[in-house]
Amino acid sequence: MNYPVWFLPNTGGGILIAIIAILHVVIAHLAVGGGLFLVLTERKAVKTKDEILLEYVRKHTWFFLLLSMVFGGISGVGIWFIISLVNPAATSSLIHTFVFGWAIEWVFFIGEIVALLIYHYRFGKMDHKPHMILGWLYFIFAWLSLFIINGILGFMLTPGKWMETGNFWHGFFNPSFLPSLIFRTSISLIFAGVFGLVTGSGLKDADTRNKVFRLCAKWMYIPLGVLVLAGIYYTRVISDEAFGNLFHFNRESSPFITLLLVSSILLFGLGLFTLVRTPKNVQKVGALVLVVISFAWMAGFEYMREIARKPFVLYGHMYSTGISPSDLDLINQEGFLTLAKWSKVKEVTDENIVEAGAEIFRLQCMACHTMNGYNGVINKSDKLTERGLEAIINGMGKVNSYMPPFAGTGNEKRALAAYIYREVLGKSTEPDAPYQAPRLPLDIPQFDPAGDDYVLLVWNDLGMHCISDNEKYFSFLPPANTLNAQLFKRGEKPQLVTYGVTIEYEVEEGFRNPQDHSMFWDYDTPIFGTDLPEGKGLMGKGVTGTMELEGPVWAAHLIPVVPYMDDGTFNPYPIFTITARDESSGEEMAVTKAVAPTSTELGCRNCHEGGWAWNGVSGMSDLTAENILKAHDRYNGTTLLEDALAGNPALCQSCHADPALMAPGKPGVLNFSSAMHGFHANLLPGMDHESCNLCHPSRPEGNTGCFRGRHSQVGVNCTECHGTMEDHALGLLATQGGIDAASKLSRGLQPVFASSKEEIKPRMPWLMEPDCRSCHTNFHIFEDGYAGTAFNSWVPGFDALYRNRTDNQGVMCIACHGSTHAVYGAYNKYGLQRDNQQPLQYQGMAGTIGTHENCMICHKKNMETSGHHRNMIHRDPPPAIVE
Amino acid sequence: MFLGGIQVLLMVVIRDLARAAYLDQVFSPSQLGNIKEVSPLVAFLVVFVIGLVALYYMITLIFKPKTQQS
Repeated sequence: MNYPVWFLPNTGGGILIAIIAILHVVIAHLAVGGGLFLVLTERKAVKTKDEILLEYVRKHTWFFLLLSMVFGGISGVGIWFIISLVNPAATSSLIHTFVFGWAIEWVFFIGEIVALLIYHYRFGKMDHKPHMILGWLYFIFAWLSLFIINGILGFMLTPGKWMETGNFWHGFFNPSFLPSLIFRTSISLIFAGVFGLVTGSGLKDADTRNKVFRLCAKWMYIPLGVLVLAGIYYTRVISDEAFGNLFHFNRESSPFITLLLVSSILLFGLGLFTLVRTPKNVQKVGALVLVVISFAWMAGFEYMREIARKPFVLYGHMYSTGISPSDLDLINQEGFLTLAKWSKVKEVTDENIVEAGAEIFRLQCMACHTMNGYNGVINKSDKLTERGLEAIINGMGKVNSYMPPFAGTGNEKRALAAYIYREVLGKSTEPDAPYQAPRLPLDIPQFDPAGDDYVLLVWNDLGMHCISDNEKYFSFLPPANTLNAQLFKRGEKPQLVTYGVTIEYEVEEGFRNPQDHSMFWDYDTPIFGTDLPEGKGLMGKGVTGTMELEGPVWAAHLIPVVPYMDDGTFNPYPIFTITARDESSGEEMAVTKAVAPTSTELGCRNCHEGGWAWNGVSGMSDLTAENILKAHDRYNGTTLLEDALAGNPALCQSCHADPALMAPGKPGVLNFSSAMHGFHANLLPGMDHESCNLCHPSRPEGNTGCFRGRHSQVGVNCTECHGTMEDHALGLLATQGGIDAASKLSRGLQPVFASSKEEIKPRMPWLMEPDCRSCHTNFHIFEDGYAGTAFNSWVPGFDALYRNRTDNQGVMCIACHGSTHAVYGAYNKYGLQRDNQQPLQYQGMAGTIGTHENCMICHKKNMETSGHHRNMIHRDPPPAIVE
Repeated sequence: MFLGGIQVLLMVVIRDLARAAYLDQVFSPSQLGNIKEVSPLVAFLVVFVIGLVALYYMITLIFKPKTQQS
């Protein structure tokens, strides 16, 4: 940010550095090993009085001088030129830290030049002994050059104690100095052998040629063992994070790891041909092929070293962006553009947002990224929306730990996302108009307080069930609503009826053919491992059927109802009619209606592109699903998209454990909820319930509005119970100790409702939810006071969940209060009272069953005591909603 | 030779003045932090002297008469 930028939108400076560096580095290593090769081969020729071999050395010296000194010298200057243009901040830092290191290296380099020139031009014109002394001096100077450069290169990856002391020698003799020196010395000897083959293959005499080839083979293979051991040693001294980025998290490294492995196999496999007598032309071609492979090998190694250093250019000291970690806070506070010395734009406004983003991209991103070339931003961002890009920018330095954190304010993040999305990708963002849900009519069953003998209470076990409805690609939520019921025989002492009755349920007209609107039955075998009859759910229930008794409740599990109606309408609140009949006579005892909420309003599209699949209203599109799988595959090295396109979509919970589906998952893999929230919390920090609304169907202006219970009307939002996204994720990840990804994801999160991460209590998803009694302490919020949040106060397990708890009489809490997120007094956008039909049926008002002294619903008379829990009889109750 | 030296000196001075004028608003070397360390300089000077000796020695080898057949 302190330097002007060399604008190379499609080439990129990185690729230029790579081309010049790889060429130079191969030659520079050859310059070291080749020196030893020359003098030892000369010595052998002199000792054995082998004039032909000596002549070979003389000719090889000329080739060597041209390659190592002329080309090596020019390309060395080229490296300085290119790095000072592409990453001037890092170049400046290296020069200022090691100015006398470079000076020492230049002394050695001059020694190399002088020794090699004399060695070449006086070959045969001097006695062997002083000539060989010159050869030795050349090698010593060349190796000492390597010694110095190695220290500085090692510093870039492992600065060690220099980070605290700033001491020259601490930086120079850094942790990777020794393994790198041994490694590079071994490489230089191997390359000496490879390049020896090139001139050796030109020898006319076959015997000498084969003799030289065998000699070169020794140079190639003897250092191999040391090279491997030094390589292992090398990987042990780099930081765990660098190692993780290199071998696990950064998919960019995969091709280079492959390149290194393949070129190693080819180099040392094909190199064996040197031991076999082959025609001269074959030897020539073979030698050239090995030279080409050597360049590929060096490309693999140098790229891996580069990637291991990410997100830094000088590890821990300076990011690839040229920004130091110590400057981040200041830049984030005051603004990148404000502080950038060469920016024309100083502040982001609505008018200049794209221009400001362009300036940020040039100054902060272009050190690594091109537009459409190597590491091109177009290819990396075309699967995201503008909102998704902003999220990815938030996640830089966290989930994308191989990228540096973005430096700048929230507005500058938005500007960068806007520039990439609108100008680079040429797309436009149209905000969704608020969804106008139809106000659907209700036909509430009648209740006769004087004549009816039974009260039937029915509820969906969750306030909302979501469906990930593109099973062609994957599934994590099948169509599966669970209805529960309790039947009470009215009387002074009402009785819970658990035998002698049949409880039937039937969905309303328009929802009775879910198989016509869902891919669930097309992919049930690959995803769920079972071939279900069409229209039947995972536990055999259809959209009409009967309930079974389970303890104090009747239940119909995993009813496959979907929000798509036969007439093309989207309605996430299908109504079921539930009828209790005498088991023997079939006579109707009680009838009521309940909503089975089910939605496909998954917000994946908000970031992953693709739009809605169902009539432009809801559902996951193919493009969204593909983009999600691409992201998963890229981050985790999976082949989910390929598998899906081959007709084998996966259930996410086949790897990620999930109590909701009773899926055990795989060892070492985060459970589903931890993975989803842990990952995305890193991308969506610093938000209130808006982060929940981005993914869940709770957005007030969305097509579902699932958070519709009484709490939604009194200023309570998701975070009051669940904490912010960061808090929520930290609680889930805390149960996943021992899994690497858990610590990696937790590291980037800062708690909001707790003062430290340790303060957040571990929570298993679905089994340990916020405890209602955190606020409703002893059932009287006004007398008892309340904490203001239920976050971090989890119920101990499944049986203690609100939906599973009873009072002392066996009456389920949820039977009278309504489903979670839709507790009675709910406001449903598809008709205000859609969720309140039972309170309206039994008491004519939309509050809790029995509120306003309506005990007679079950008791047939008014009661004087709060029998179910404290504070249930209000003499002066607050007004309840009545349409 | 003398004029060449003057020319180089002038080039260096003018380049420095031009750079300072161009970067006046954005950078001055005084903004850079300094850590005083003598040992790298000493190491350089030692290597420099050894280098000069080695250069002298190598050049003397050129003029050493050849005494053997090769």
